[in-house]
Amino acid sequence: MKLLRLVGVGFSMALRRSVAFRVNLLFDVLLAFTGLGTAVAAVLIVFTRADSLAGWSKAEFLVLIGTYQLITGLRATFIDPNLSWFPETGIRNGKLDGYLLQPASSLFLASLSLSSPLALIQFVLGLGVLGWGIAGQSLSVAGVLSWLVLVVAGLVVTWALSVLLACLAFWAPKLQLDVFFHSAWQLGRYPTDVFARPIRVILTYVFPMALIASVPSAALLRGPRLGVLVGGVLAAVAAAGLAGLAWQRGLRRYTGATS
Amino acid sequence: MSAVEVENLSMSYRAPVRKGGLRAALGSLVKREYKTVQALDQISFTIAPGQVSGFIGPNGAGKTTTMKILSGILHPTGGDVRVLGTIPWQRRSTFLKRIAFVRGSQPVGGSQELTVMDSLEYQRLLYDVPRPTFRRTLADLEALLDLEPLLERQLRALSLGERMRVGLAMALIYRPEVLFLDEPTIGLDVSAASQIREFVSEYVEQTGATVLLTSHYMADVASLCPRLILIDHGNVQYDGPLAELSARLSPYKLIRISTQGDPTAFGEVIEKADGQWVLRVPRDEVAATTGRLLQAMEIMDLAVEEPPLEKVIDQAYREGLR
Repeated sequence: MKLLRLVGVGFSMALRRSVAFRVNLLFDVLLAFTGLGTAVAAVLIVFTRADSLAGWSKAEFLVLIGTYQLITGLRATFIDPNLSWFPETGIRNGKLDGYLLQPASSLFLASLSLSSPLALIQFVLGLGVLGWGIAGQSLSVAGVLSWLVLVVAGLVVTWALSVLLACLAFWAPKLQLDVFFHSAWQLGRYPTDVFARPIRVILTYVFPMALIASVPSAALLRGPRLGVLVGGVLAAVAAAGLAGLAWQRGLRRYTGATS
Repeated sequence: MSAVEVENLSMSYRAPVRKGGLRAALGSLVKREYKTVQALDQISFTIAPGQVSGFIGPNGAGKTTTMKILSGILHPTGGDVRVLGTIPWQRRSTFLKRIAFVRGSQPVGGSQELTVMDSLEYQRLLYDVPRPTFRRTLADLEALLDLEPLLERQLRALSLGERMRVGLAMALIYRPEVLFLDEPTIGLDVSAASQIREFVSEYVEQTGATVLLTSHYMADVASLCPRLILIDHGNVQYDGPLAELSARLSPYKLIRISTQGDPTAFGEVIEKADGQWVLRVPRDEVAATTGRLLQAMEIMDLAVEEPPLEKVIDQAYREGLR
């Protein structure tokens, strides 16, 4: 409860801070529109030539892009401000020392206490594209619910992956894999069906980008499958557990960044 | 029960080493050599509740490392530590709410765009301070630290002295019982530094807090700390009152006199300028020498002084304690 309130207060303070910069606001909106616009345009162009791509129709593709954008927006709002470029922004400037002194979970403070509210624009645009995609489709209640569950699972996995990446800093302080992570993230915007089998296996089980958009969208459009649902939840629990463990182990090794 | 108990505390870490030059750099790709750095080597001390202790030593002696361990940031590699009866690096919330660690080099963390008041509000939430208590403490701190003009300013726009005052306010808003102050006056001008000193002693008087303070400014130590702990090379070299340390390090006192005559015969002259002389005399001969001086010569003014603390400490850092 206290943690939620801390996020709330942090969010409101960040909002106050960011509305002060009007030009920034304008450019963030423009940037979000362009990013999403190009993704949608590409899909529209492809579908002038074909009716389906790897078994996905145009509307289904839009649902997928919407879901992907929605999760990306939430990540950019709540996770990235804390964990991207963690060795530099989180450790070397002494922020972690500060978090370790505060009476709340250090993992929470280091991974979720800061937010950048403007990135929520991406989330809203994602919702728009999602609405566009599902307009005219018949959805089942079970499908919507399982979509929700899987989106939450996808978010948890996203958070856990970012934490694990940040934890690398405790073992290899010079290693920054953020660029790699962000490129791999881009793969989430395509249904895994379009990839060759080996890549599909990797994206499903090793680096589960499939969970970000493909799996929830399929559940929304084609109805829930118990196996997928259980698998998604289990993946989320396992990833979160692993992240917590890595964080604890990492702190044990932490020898301080400032003198 | 002691507020701080440290027994055989050790901290070592492995740091990669290589010689200069490209060849050594390439060599280290294949075979990496490490050197174990012993930052702390079995140090022990205890601090009673309400005691203010000065923690001194040259740069790199292990002061900050010790403080980081005592406040729970680092896990030591050996030894036992209890602060307020608990092991710091377990980092229990109840423990963290009772201690504060303020660093002069980075007094205020967090988002620099926030105003001072916003940051204090955040602390209130984080440390679960009830609103009435918060208001009362804030009023006290405002008066003591002259905070009022700062409350609506952004953190990043504060001067160094103001940042330190705000840093202290943020730490003390939850009324910690144990205070670790790491060079709280570093970089401050004379009056800002003395304001911080007065504030610390006032806070201690009001709340009975236990304080461990490091500083390179002897004025801080001399005015605040009845007890000194001197560490060097990761070992405790001295633990006791300040006066005793300077007596031990410097078996001399200084006699400063104004006279027209020549007092060379009474002691070693270490300074002379237009009728002003400073003589260095063994401690146990000070009374006798003064008597003889007053009898033998026409003295206009006379003062007996301790050697400057800076000099004494400098000697301790360079030569160690015998």
